[in-house]
Amino acid sequence: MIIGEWKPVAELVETLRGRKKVLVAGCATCVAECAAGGEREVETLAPLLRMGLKKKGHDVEIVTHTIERQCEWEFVEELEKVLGGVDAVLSLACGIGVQAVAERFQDVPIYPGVNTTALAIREEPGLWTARCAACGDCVLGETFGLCPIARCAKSLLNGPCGGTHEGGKCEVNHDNDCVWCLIYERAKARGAVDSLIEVKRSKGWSSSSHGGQKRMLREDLRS
Amino acid sequence: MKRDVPDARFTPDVALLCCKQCLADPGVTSGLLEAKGCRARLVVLPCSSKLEGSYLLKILANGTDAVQVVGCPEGACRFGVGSRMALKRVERARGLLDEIGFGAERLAMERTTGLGRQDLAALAAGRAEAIRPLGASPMKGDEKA
Ligand code: SF4
Ligand code: SF4
Repeated sequence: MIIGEWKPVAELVETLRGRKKVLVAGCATCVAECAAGGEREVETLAPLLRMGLKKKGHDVEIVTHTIERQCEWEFVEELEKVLGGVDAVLSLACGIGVQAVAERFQDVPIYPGVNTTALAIREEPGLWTARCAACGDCVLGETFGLCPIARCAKSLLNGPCGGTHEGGKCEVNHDNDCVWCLIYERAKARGAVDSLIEVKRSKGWSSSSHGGQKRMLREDLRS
Repeated sequence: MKRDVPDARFTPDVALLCCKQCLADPGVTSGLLEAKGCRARLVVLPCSSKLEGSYLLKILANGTDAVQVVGCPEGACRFGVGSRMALKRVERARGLLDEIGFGAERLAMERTTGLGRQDLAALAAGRAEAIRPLGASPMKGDEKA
């Protein structure tokens, strides 16, 4: 899933200063799963914004609405019915959802309430970790199903770096496992450590984020 | 923002949200509660575990000066970790209240049990005293959400 976290509420209060009627728009998919932008978070943030703005001397009406997905046009349409009189939208969706809403409703300013951070998995309640960086040239087949791009601080294709900390922790952040240790352990369990001795082929980065906006086109799905 | 001189005439409105398992007398029901120095309203909850931060913040956003939550002590919660998780949500909401300059003291949670009317009144009065330096809620008369 895509994960993100609230921007600091004090920053959001500043952003919305002077607005008369604000729609706080939630998304019930990824950002709901990571407790940043679902209905629960929308209903938590709305009273905070009212209080924060009032404290600074601003009266504001806050309306809330959470749709199934802000990243699909069909669902985005639903927001039209709650936009009456709204002079700013605060979207708690990921960056994709924010852009979709901004594109569909261009007359009203839209602000992101969430910083989108990663493609991640929920490890356990309250802990999410990045698992993929959408590099566009997946190497998981060579790394025993562990991503060295998203999970190694240096995105090494031939690891480990030599700085791995005691207990198999990453030297850059001791909270994180060194993914190259994990790759080694998995290779060992499969009796395939030799495969790690080979120097990996250079990875194609042209399909990563450096070539401008990525596009995916499937003629067979177009009418 | 703290006021330099607390207003002695200020009578805070305090909402006391109490898990029914914490009450010594199961006959105590929701309603007004006589408490020193404040207007206290008791809400008896079936369980504190279902309390969401949004409920607590909405009570404050609608003009109540302070909210006092009461849940079971560690080990006594019939839902296992219910009151512990409620405390975590209260702590998060307190942090957010501080972040917007509204005052974390407007919201607090106690984990205790065997409470009679006097104890409940004391908890409400204690919360009222804790927020007296903050003064009345800026949200008074602003019931919207
Ligand atoms: S190698 Fe690339 S596509 Fe595969 S999981 Fe890692 S970042 Fe994602
Ligand atoms: S310690 Fe491991 S995960 Fe961290 S940078 Fe080095 S190889 Fe990558």
